[in-house]
Amino acid sequence: MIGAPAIRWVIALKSEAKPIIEKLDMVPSKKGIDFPVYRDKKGYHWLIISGIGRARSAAATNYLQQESDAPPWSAWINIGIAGYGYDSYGALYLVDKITLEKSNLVAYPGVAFSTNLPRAGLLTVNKPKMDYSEPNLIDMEGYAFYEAVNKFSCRELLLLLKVVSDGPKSNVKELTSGKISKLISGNIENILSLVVQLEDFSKLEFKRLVPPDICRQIKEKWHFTVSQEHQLSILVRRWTSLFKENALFSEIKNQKSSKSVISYLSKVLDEYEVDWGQS
Amino acid sequence: MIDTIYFEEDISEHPRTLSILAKFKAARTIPIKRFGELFNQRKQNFRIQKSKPSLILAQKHNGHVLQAPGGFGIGGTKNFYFSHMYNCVYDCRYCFLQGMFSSANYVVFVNFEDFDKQIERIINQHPEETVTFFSGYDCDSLALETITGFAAHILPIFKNYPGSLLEFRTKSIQVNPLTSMKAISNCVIAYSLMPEVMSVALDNKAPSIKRRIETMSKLSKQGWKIGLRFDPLIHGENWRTLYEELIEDVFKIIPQKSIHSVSFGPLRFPKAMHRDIFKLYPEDPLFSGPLQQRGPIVAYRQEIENEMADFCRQMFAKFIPDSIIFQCTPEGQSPELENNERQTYSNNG
Repeated sequence: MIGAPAIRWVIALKSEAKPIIEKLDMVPSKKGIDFPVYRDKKGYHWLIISGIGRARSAAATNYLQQESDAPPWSAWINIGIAGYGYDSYGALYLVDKITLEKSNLVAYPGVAFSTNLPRAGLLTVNKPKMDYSEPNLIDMEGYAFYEAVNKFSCRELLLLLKVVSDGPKSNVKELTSGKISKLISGNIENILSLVVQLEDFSKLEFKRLVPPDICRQIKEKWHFTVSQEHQLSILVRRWTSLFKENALFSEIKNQKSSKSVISYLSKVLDEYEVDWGQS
Repeated sequence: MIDTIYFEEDISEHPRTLSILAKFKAARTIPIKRFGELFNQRKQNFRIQKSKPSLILAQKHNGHVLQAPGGFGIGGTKNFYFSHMYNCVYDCRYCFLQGMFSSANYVVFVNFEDFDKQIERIINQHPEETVTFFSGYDCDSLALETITGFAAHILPIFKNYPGSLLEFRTKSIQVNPLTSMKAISNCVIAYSLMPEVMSVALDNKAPSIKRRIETMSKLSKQGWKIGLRFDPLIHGENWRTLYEELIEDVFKIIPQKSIHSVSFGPLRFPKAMHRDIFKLYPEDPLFSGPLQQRGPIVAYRQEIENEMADFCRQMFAKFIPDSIIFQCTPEGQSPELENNERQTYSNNG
């Protein structure tokens, strides 16, 4: 069984990804054919380097989802550099609104994090933009990343972080790979503190979505149809909310068939009076 | 603590928007076009959002006041409800709001005056009847009063229409607007109640039953009429003793002359809503008890439901006349509302 948490990183540049790869002790994955893909030893964290622009970001997000077998409780992170008219070079921002340039399209990533990080809106543009008169951060991937992730996840399991790299007083042309990596590594502790929260959300979702492990053992002993499996999953959830999971198997071990397992559990639960003082 | 406030651009200069924003100076404020673009969005995680809800300030364009479902009343001939807010600060596991909205964020409609107009229009359309208005259907009426000021705004309207009735349904013990004004005879402050041990397990983030009873007592001493709402009735071990003790305690403390009405109703969910809420909280013991599907609803077995209702009715009858005891029943719904599950089931305590 795949364990929680599941975190997926989509990053445009190798220089942006380098500090994350090093900090999480990631290694290249054999699965990265179309895009460079990295993963940590446990397989909790996967990272893809998408390249620049909306099309590549969307393609890489979909690619990583498939190649890493991202489960439904996966949380997704996009981190990278961005231009900003307020020119706080090196500052890390949590993005809470994304607008796609020259469109009416707007997206709102979840904001259930506890953090003191400053927040800002993000404008995703098609071509590099040197006009910093706009009130938002500026990047070239954010909206596409959100749109791609939102097809298979929810906005609360999605995090966009941007580090200011250029602005009216910081020339984008002076950026080097080394400087970009430093911008990310200079914020690594703040980034990881948000990742910890995202991991907690992912674990919560894992518990919510994945039936207790005892279901697997029960299905190994008796044959259940698809419909019965669904019934079993609900009954086991109900049972484990009242009693210890490890007591279930001995409770039903004498049942002769899947049908009698279901019938027995239904009867026990339907007659049970919840002891609210114990719950 | 609210640290994100979205507001519709059209109401950015509305005095109530400005007043609410001024109460959250440190909050991040984000302009939006219409609240629905955010609130009704698919792919939201209600459970994670509920851990840290944001506030959305919006304008309600229609449907300010709606007809209440049949089987939902406290003696009046015409029943209506309105909601100046969607969602609740509390996190009660039986609440239908969990399965109603895809978002756990709080929406506050700032155009209170449009509610006023519609309330007055309805009252004037029924001059010979007692029209009852229920506040707190899609939210708790008073829990965010310090932020919205809705109760303080709406109460003076009802002073002008003594033939109508207003019910505030709440679990809140923050009752400042009520304690700082003279009681209004046609306003009922209705408290949701269940045995403390059940409330501790199910009424997450809500004031204890003891504090609610103390608050009711305080309000009754000031002359406010009190409503007692045992809805939903929760089944469990020793339920008879637990309800008996609760009912005796309440009637010992709240004088009979202050009690406007008592209502009670079974725990019930439309089938799809039960499925959605169970998916959100599969580990919750509420869904492990003797619930079963009965036609379009999921509820306790009929004999349990009847037994609990009979028992409670008999208990109430020891203290108050039958004429002010009301049973809420899903069966009592109006035929035209049959397809509107939202209006039919109201486990929002």
